[in-house]
Amino acid sequence: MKKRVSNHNKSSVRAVSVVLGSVLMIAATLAVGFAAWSWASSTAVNSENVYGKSVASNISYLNELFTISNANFSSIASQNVSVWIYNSGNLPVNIKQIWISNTTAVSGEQWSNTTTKLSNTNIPNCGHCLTVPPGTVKSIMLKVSTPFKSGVLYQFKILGQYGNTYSYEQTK
Amino acid sequence: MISRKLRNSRKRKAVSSIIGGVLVFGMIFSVGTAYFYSITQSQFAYQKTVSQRDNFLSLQTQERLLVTGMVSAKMLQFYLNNTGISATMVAYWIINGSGFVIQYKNSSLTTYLPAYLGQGQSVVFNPGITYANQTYTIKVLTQRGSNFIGIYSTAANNNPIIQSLTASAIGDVYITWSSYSYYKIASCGPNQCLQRQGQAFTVPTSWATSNQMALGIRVVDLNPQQNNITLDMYTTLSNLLVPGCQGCNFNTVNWYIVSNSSSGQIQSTYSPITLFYNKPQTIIFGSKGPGSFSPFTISGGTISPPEIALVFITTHGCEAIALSQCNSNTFNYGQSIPYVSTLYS
Repeated sequence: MKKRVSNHNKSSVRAVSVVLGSVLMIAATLAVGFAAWSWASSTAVNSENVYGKSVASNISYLNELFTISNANFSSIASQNVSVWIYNSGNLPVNIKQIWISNTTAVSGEQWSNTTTKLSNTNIPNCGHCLTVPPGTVKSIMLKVSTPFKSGVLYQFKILGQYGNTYSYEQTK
Repeated sequence: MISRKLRNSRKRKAVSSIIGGVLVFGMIFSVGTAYFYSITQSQFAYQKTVSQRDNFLSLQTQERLLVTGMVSAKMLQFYLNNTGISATMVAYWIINGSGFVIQYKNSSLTTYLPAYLGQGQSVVFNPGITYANQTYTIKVLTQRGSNFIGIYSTAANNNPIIQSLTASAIGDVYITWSSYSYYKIASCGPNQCLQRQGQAFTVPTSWATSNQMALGIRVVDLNPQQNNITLDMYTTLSNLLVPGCQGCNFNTVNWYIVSNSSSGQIQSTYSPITLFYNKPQTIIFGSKGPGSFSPFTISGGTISPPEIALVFITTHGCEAIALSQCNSNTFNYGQSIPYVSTLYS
């Protein structure tokens, strides 16, 4: 009888420890599992975001289509020139920078749009930009610091918000 | 008792393995699927954009517009001929001899723009600029961003060889020999259409006397002043059938000019055709009388095959006068071109 009781107590004690052990094991397994899952999940999401941003940037670059259609040196003010920019794409184009350079000069004298500031926009990563709506031609009058000379070939270069450039040459 | 315990313990193990497996699979599946779905979607969007851009650039390279400046009634005009795929003109610039833009128009400045031009179509623009004896550059912009340039200059007009050839020896309108063709006039729905049969240097008499026939030839205006020529309804093509006997009379057959659409349909009433400088154009003769289109078949007794016919193309109308102002009071042009013949076999 004694032996039977002591055996019963022993088995009860062992059963509790087994349950506790199992619970602890399950908890540990679940914790490690969820930690691994969350890490994998967050890494995947980060990777997706990075890739998505890269793709979106490439798509924006590919959708940015513009040209310089014409330039007209002013007959009255020798420092002024009008440039017509055409957006042939389906999305608005934001022109960040316009350069005018004297391609025949050895020094490669170069002007940027410092004397005629592009209007300030609230577009991210653009700031002072010229916005050209899709399918429209927009002209901008630029004033440079040195007068344009007759018979000289000038190069006009424009930079879009997403990194596309377009060059155009015209002789005054 | 032991076997029942063992069975129970085995059951529990099996359940936990399944749950564990399901959980692990679910974790991998959820992360993997979300990742691959996202990447695939991005890739799809990227490929679609690349494809659209490629397509756009491909179409852009297929655009071909021929811009030709001209002067009509002392006004500068320009002629636009689409020799490529369909295109839409969205803006134009006219630059004078000093290099300054004297006119710029886009869709917000004129109702004529945007101007759609289907394949092979042409259009004339009158910018309302009085010609001032200088070189003009006309720059045209299409919707796809292509630029096309045409120049109107009088420099070529001073060439004495061209002047003597055109004004004295031959005339303002040249013909392209190989284009001389005969056509069958056939019904196509409510209208009459032209069906080209072949070159008209030889026409079977049996065919000519059993079908309504039209004749066509490609002509080009090479006026030394580069003026345009408008052909009125009295422009004809005549066949003088040379009789096979001495002292016999000439039979004649006359076809009056008709106007047809680019698809070959003949208009019921003739609309004056304008020939632009150095722009070849096919003109069709197929009517019995001037103005209203009335097709006819040559009557059987007219031709005695084999019989040769002298062909005279008689052009008539206006030179350097706007189409709207070309009428019997302003007619200042007429020419007879006797350079081809037809054998009725």
